[in-house]
Amino acid sequence: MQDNTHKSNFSNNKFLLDALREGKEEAYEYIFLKYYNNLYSYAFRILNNESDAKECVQSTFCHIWDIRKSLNINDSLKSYIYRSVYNGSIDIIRKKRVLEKYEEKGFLDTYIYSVIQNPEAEIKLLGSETRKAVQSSINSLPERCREIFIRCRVKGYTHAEIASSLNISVKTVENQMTIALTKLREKLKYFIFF
Amino acid sequence: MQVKKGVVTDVMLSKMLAGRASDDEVENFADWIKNIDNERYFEQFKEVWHASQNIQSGDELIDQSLKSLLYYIRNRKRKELFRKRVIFIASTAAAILLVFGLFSMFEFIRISGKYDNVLFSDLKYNSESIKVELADGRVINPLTESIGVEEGYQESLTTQNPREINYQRESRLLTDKKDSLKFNSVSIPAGERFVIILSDGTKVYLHSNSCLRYPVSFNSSSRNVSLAGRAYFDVKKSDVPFIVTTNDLSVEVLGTTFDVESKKGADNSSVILIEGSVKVHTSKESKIISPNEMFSFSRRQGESSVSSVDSKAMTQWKDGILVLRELSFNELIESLSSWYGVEIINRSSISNDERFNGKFDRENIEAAIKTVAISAKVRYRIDKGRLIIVDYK
Repeated sequence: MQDNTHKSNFSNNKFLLDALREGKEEAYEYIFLKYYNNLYSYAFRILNNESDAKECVQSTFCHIWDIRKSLNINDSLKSYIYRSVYNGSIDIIRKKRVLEKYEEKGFLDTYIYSVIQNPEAEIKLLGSETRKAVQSSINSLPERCREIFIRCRVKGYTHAEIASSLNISVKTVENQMTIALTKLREKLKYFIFF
Repeated sequence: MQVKKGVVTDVMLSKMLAGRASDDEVENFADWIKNIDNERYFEQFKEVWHASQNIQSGDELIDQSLKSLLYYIRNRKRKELFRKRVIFIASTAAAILLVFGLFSMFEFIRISGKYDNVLFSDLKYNSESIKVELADGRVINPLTESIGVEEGYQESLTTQNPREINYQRESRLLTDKKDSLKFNSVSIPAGERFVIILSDGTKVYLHSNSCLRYPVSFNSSSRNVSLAGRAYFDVKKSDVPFIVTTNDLSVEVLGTTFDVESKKGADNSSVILIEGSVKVHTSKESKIISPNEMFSFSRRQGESSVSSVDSKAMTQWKDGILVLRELSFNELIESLSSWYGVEIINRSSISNDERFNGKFDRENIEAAIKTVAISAKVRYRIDKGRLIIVDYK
């Protein structure tokens, strides 16, 4: 880990790929530290569950080790990894029968293609201007306001649910949401969707 | 942005994305998104929803997960090492140390410490001898008896090396009709091997548990021998085709070097070509194979296939080194039993799917068995002259 010469070599894609194929532990450590957090976040947003996200990302790295000898990546390693996490996540929700309720309604295709974030969109979003702007606007909200906003618009809790869990009145939740939305709309003029 | 959302609210969209929507909400959403404007709105909403989240795994989780990945990798490496079971020539402890590293050396010491009371001198070796059956029906052991053949053959059968018979006779022409009808056969028991030089100068290395039948002298129009078991042929070049016939295939050559294996009870018969070219016939078809190719005939399916192999490595048995490739544990044990001429009983529970590779010299059964035991994680004892292999622990 301290070996910087090694690490800088790994930024060379071919070198990294060769090291992965040869099963060099340092190379696995390198990609792990480089991608883990973002992959975990991505898997979490598909699976909406901490331990599933953890399992999915872990088995993706183990899988890369297992198939390392046939690792033949035409596009980037990054898209390969994201695609693996995506496939792994879909496997998990399929196994957990989460998809059944969408399937019953004949809505499975739409759910997979419209609701679940595909790996290409996720890679595009990473480090994009949209993400930076949205993140900094949300971070600029007063703490209480931000918390209520996240509970509502990210996690999808109703005003009443938030009120009771935070032990405040529904009116307060409504007021805080109005403040949050006004501020965000100001900052995010170009993408006012909330 | 003003989009008619009807019963669908932004909170509901968030619920959809967070996987917390109720059945009714899913139904409403499914309807709602059929509208193209709604679909577009949702696309944008979804982007911001994803962008707005800043989920952090936390250092502790990263740390812990990295550790478990490295643990997984090391564990796999170890397993792969054992799965491949590369058993190199097992004649010295140094070789073992080289192959398995320090870790296994300790294991070796640990295991052998517990079981080193096994005395290999107690092993009972196959007592059958090499037999040469002569045309007149007499059976002799070339290791102990001289091949006293009738009328003037004595001088022609040279046996300077007791593990070799030479039928080459410069003094006679190949056209001797009488001798071409006289067949000899040689049977090699487990634990032995033998070399025969046929009347045309073709050298045949016979593997243990094999039998070759051949005329004392070939005539001018054919060179036919028949084989059960395994043999390596170095055929003298001639215009007369040399044909090896086994139970299920025949090999036709003019002058070349190849290995034929057709063991009783085995799943496959095979021909490995070292040099030149040979034509292999089965009941169904004929195929010509090139050097470094192996022709396999599956007895069960009656089908044949050709694959590339390292022919030199796979035929080293003729020089006293047994090279085993991709064998199941049972096959490995069978090969060793035949190679060393001892009875080995496998009572271990090693899966038949595991594949073993190894290289063994004939002189040292003790080193071979010890290496196998470490590699396959089994232990062994000797009981009534037989080697019994059982699970470790």
